[in-house]
Amino acid sequence: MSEMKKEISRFPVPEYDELPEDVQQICDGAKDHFGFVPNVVKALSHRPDELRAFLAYNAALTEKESGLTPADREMIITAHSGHNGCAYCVASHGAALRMASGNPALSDQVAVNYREADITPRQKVMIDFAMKVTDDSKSINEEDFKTLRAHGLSDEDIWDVAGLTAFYNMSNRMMSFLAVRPDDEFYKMGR
Amino acid sequence: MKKFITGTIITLFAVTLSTNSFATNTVAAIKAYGEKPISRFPVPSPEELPEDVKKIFTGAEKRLGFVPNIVAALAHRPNELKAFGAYNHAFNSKESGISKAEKEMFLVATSAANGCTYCVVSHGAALRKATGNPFISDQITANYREADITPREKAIIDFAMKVSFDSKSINEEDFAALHKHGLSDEDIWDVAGITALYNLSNRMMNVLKVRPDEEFYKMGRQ
Repeated sequence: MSEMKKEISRFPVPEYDELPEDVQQICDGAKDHFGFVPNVVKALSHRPDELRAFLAYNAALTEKESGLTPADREMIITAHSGHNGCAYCVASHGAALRMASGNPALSDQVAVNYREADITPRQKVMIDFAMKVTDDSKSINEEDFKTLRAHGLSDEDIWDVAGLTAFYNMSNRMMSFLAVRPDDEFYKMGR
Repeated sequence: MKKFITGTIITLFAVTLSTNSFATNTVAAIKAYGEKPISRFPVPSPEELPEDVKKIFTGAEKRLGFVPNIVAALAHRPNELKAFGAYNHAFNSKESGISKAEKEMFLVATSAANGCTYCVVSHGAALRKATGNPFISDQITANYREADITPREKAIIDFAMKVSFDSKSINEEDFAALHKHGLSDEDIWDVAGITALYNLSNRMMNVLKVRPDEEFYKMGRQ
């Protein structure tokens, strides 16, 4: 290939000055947190109402008490995003997983095949369940709940795994549809 | 440009309505299938709900005549219910080149492929009402390729299926195929976005095992 496209999204990305004030504040907040405005925010800002709902849903799932650690959450997301082939989600949540776990090799392992990764049996069953939510949610049954409870998860923790997985199955599809380009910064974090 | 028609399952989340009549019939609606649970998880009783969630219940009841079990089931997590409602509203409160019937069609097709009983039954009802065709939902649920639909509708569902099952392979050819059927890029985003959101919903309904409301089975059949 003679030329490589490096566009942020298949769709137009608005300039900062064109954004509604509250979306500008979202960008400012992201910049304070990461040091840059992630491309997911830029790409979704083409549709401000969807961006707001996306962030509100994410906050509802993550800004709460949970038996899941931040590393557990990022592991679940990285594993099924890898399985769904979502480059953006693997790069960004892989970065978050390296930061949360302090393990620079973990994200590469989990994104390719979590069954071979250096994770605990509890983490493995959580990801097994997330994969079932991703690929075969219609077959979920009481046995799945029992397995997770045997590893110390409460029913609310199980909802957290399912809810995060369902949400990121939505996000995986949107990022792939928009072909959102992973921010270079994420590749380097926590290495 | 056709605007999404209001007044169905989809718009029940628009929290524009607020009345004080919320009480007894809501309780009845929630407890109607006592021996057949609504959800694997606890369903809150109306008096336990935050005010803004009560408004969602009231609005739904006013539009549909009952509080759908999806709302009752998700009310166990009010913030998630509100965010889901807001996401739905983002799609339904905008202009779109995708008609109401087209939207319900691809939701029924993808929900069936995902094995989501709740979504097939509720959106199947909405599709019958939007089209006036009592057979269309059964046809699309079984196999949309054999259903009485237009080539444009088929192309839209083909794309929604690709978003559902192979989103990583979406490419410019998919856009070109839809452009030929008159879809704008924004219409294509609508199809992808709504499909993605219902891929979330299909999974949550399956995890929670939300029981379809009996009312939906009967709607638009005659």
